[in-house]
Amino acid sequence: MNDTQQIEGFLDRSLSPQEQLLMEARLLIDTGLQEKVRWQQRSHELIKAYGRKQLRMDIERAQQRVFTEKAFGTFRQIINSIFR
Amino acid sequence: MIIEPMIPQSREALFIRLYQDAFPGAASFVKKMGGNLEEAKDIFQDALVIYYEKSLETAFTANYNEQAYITGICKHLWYKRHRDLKVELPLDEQLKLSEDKELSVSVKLMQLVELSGKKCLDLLKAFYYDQLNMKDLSQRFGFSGERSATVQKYKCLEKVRNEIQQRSLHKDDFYE
Repeated sequence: MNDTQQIEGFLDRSLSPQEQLLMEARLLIDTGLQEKVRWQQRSHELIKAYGRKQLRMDIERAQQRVFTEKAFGTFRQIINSIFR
Repeated sequence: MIIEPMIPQSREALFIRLYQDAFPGAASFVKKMGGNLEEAKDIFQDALVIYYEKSLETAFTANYNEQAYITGICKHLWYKRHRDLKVELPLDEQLKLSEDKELSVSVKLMQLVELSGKKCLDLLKAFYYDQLNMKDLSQRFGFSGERSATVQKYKCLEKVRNEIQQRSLHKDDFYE
């Protein structure tokens, strides 16, 4: 198992007890590995931010459609009457 | 609400349905509170983000009225934005979201990573954010099977990790 996979197991706590111990031991002395763990955690933050960004784009697209397309005229009538 | 393998079209169709079903109720509330259409749209978008992410959590069950739940999120967001109301917010604990402090990942950095490897980022997003299982993921991305999809997933993760680590050495900030 390479480092990336090991680190994933470490981060999501899915390593076996032995693997976990080994990882913790390695982390005590291997600063390169410590760095990798940190940057892999940050990768997950970036992935989540990217996921949210794409999600917002999809929501925005849906909003655009219901507020402009002919098919959703009744919907717009309802909304307009609320804010009249 | 069941989120099936989220192909973009089905997700868009889902949100269109949610607008039709839940936006009028949310809009009525915002209007009642003195808000306008723009504010209603804004809050509703945030609510949909929260709703989507919440529905992917395993503990989330379908024993609720979808419309009422989303309107509830909208109300919660409204009160949070207009704190002078000092209303009890029991939902706070459950939601723990909206303005996530830790997620101010540098937009510029994200764009750079996206530019250098959008396919990788999309794969990682599908697995970690949208929580596709490996079977659906390997089908969606055209892999020969789950095993090769898994291998690629780790390769992509390593690629992203190396890239942001490298860029930080060259003073590209990770956080805004």
